[in-house]
This record gives sequence, C-alpha cells and structure tokens, in this order.
Amino acid sequence: MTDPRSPITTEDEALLCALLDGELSAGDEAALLSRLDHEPALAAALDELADAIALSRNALVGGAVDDVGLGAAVAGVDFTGLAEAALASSSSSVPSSPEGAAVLTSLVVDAEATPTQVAQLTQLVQGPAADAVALFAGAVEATRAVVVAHEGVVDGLAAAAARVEADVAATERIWSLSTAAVDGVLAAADVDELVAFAGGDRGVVVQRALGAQHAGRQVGEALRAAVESPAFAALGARAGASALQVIGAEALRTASTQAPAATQAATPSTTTTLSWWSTAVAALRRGLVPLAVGAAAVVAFALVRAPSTTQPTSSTTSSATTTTNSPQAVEQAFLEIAGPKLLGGASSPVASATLLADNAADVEALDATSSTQVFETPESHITVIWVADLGDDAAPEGQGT
Amino acid sequence: MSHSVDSRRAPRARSSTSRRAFLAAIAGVAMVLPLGLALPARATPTPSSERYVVELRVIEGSRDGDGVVDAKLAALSRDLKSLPFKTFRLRDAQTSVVGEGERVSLEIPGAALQQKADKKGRKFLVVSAHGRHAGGKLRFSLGIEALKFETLVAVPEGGTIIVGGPRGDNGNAVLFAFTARTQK
Repeated sequence: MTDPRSPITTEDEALLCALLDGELSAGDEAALLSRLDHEPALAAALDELADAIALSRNALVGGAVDDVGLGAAVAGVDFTGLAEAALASSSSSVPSSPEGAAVLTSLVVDAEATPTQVAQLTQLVQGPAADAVALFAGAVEATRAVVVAHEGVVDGLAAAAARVEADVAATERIWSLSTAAVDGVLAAADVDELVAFAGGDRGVVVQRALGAQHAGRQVGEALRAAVESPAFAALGARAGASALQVIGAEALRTASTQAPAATQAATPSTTTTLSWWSTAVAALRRGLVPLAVGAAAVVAFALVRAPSTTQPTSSTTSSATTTTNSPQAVEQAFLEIAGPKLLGGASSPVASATLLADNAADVEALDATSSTQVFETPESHITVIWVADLGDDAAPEGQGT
Repeated sequence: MSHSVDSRRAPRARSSTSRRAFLAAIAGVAMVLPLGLALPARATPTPSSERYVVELRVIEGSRDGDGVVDAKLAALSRDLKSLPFKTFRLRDAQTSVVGEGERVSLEIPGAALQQKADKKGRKFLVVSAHGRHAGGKLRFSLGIEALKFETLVAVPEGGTIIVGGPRGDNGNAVLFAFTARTQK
C-alpha cells in the first residue's frame, strides 16, 4: 500500500526504518544507499524518519534525563534493541512481544513478578503501550475477581446445601430410630446407631425425638383410657340426660305458649298453624322421646363409625373398640386440656405417667378352621393370634378373650 | 250454639295432629336410619402410591432348652417371654415390599410346619395390603393356606403382630411375627 500523500511507498519507508534500526542485510543496505544517492525524495524521507525517531527517543527518556542534565549524553545513546535486552535480563524468560508484556502484567497482578520484571512493566507503562497494558491489567483483575467470586459463591452454596441435606437426613433417621425404639422394635444395629447419634452433636435431637414419641404414645393411651373409662361413659350419660331435660323444658314452654291460642281459636285451621317444632314437641310428649333419641344415637354412630370396626369378633382386642366418635377431634380436645398437665407440669412428669404403649394391632376379621385366641402381650402390648388346636398343648392359659 | 260445635271439634283436631306427628316421626326415623347405616364409613385419605415394608420372622418356641431367646429376637424378647415357652429361636426372616392393593407371598421355611405344602412343597404367608385404618394403622390380610387360616389386621406403623400355635417339624410351636411399616 502507498500513502497518496507520501512521495515514497510503504515498502520504501519500511526499508528506511530498517536501515535506521540497523536491521538490513549488507546487500539490502548497499542497494538502499545507492538509491538514496539517486532519489532525492527517498533521501528526504530518510531525514524526516530520522527526525521522528529522535523525537520519540527524547519523549521516551524525556524529562527525567533532562532534569539531571544528562539529556545531551542520553541523546546519543542507541536504544535499538533495548526492550529485548531488558526482557532478556529478567529472571524468567518473558518473550519480547506484546504477549510478553501481557505476561509481565499478569505476573505483577499476581504479585509474582521479580523487581526486574516490575521495572520492565513500569517502563512499558511509561511508553506508548501504557493504555494497552492498563487495559490488560484491568481485564485480568476483573476476570480474576469474577472467577474468585463465582467459585466462592458456588462452593459456598454447594457446601450449605450439603450441610442442610445431611442435617435433614440425620434428623429423619433419628426420628425413625426413635419411633422404632419407643415401639420396642429396634434392631441391635439400630440401637448402636441411635446411641452414636445420642452421643454426638445431635444428642439433643435424639432426646427431643424420644421424648416426643414417648409423650405422644402416652397421651394417646391417656386418651384411650379416658374415653374407655366408666367415668367417661357416666359423663356421656349425664350429658344425654341433660339434653333430654332441655328438650322437655322446651316442650313445656312451647306448649304453654301455644295453649291459649289453641283454646281461643279452636278451629280446624288452628292445627295447620302449628310450627313443625311444636308438632315435634307434641310428638315427643306423647312417648316418642326414647325412640327419637335412640334413632339419633344409631344415626350418629353410623355416621362416625370407623371403616375397620365392621365386624368386631369375640377375639377382637380392646384396642379395636377404641374407634370412638371423631377420634381426631376428641384427641385434639384432650391434648388441649390434658396435654399441659401431662407434658409441662413438674409435679407430674411424663415418665411417671402409668400409661400403655399403642403397639396393639386391631384384628378386624379372623377366619380359621380351628378355634383361636387373641390377646396382647403384657410388655409391649403386641397382639398375638393363637391358633389353638394346632398347638393346643402349648396354648397360653389365662390369656386372651 | 256454634261454640259447642267448636268445642267438640277441638279434641279431634289435636288427635289428628298427634297422629300426623307420630307418623312423621316414624317416617323420619325410617328414612334416616337406612341412610345413616348405608353411608360409607369415613376413611383417612391415603396416597395411592403408598408402599409398605413387611417383614416375616418365623420363630420356634420350645418348652425345653436353655431358656435363651435368640439374639436376633432381642426386640421381641420381653414379649416372647410372656408366652408359655422357654426357648425361642429364629428359624427364618425375610422382608418384602408390597403396595396398597397388592399381594405378596412370603415363603415359610420348608420344614417349619407339619402341615401339607403346595405342589412344589412350599408354604406361604400371603400378605395383602389394604391401605390405612382410620386411626392411621396399616391394614393387611394375612393368610396361611397350609393352616386354613386368614385374618384381617390393622398394625401400627412399625408394629408387630404374632400368629402362633402350629407345630413345627420337631414338635415345637411355630410363631410368625409379622411387622409392617410404610416405605420411606
């Protein structure tokens, strides 16, 4: 390419630069010098180029040299190959190229550069490549910051997730083991595992799990005992009697308010003005109270009965009869009332409550060609079905139903 | 005069009212009772995909021996000791997984029972899972064809039920400890 404003070509300008830098071979230098003698424009271009190089050298070593009065001495110094020499003198082999400058910058950024390399980079920063070096250093710093931040965040999140997962798994395992322990079905290996948990950092979790399981079973048994107790039945009977009394009182009140109207307007149309309530009360007064209450009780029982209590056999365990009306609601109410007393009172610690574990299975149906016995073990209340005639000589005595 | 006529009609009106009330009450009871009895019992919603881990332990109980309960039966030791046997030995144990509405057969060791086996000489405890009891217990039907025995039970989560009585090959009693829990 040739600059249209220049009297010489780009190739000639390159040859002139090489001549000034002493990089031409002997043959090329002789040929160029020969041309300079015959081409005034080429000679003029050589002079201009030499002046430009001189200006650059002065700018490179500029003020500092002049300040100490060495400007004249330095002006005659040949800086050709200075960069290469400086880079070559470094302790590490950094190439004399833009990539080499980048390496120097990287070493300085990483605080791994030797003093010599720092000086080299300082020299480059003071020259025309200052902007490129600054940009490179900034990019390296930014990149490194992003990488460090990214790795830190990812590692942190991964570590946190792993910790949470491990904690959840351990807690679930502890609760599972605690449930088995309270049920009395903990295997030997599981016992060791639970003991290890109890003695470790999660000892508190083990204590809470065991306590909650134990308390839950006891509260359930307390509920069962309360519902099955004669006192509970008596209370229910009293509530029913009270309800009947209220119905009777309401019947009397309604009858007294309706009576004057009936006597004042004793016409056939009078009966049609009676409300359905007064009709019902009148019917109740005429002896339908027991029938209505009985029907209501049967309907209520049918509505709330549990699905598994359809055929309680003679051998059904006592726990099968505990499917009471809305057990969840009754249990919740009981927990609200008795829970604090069972769990929170220092005077009645949970451990002292004489309650049973709910390990019993419900035998809903039994079909065997031989007679059977069903009973619970006295320890953990495990339900046992004993097929009597197959091992009648070994049948437990004094047990079963 | 009309007053006397009204006076005679009033008792008839009350009598008619009581009869209608009585009939209404009877009709109400007659309608409500079958309705209440026919209503399906409430059941606890159960995930259809629920599966259960069931374990069968075949235990031999003897009135003789050294009075030792097999170490592998430590969890049941206290309960077994309440039975009229002195020594307990674990003959076999196997675990399986059964889903709700599914059935699984757990083989009983060949010589554990005196009763006849199937054509291939095997005996099974057939377990069928029926979901959850209203109280949360796990419902299973257990059947041992060799004993002509079948039962429907509701076992607490992780709980055990024991079926015992039949004699083993050596004359000792055989007990089946069936344990079930929900698969996590």
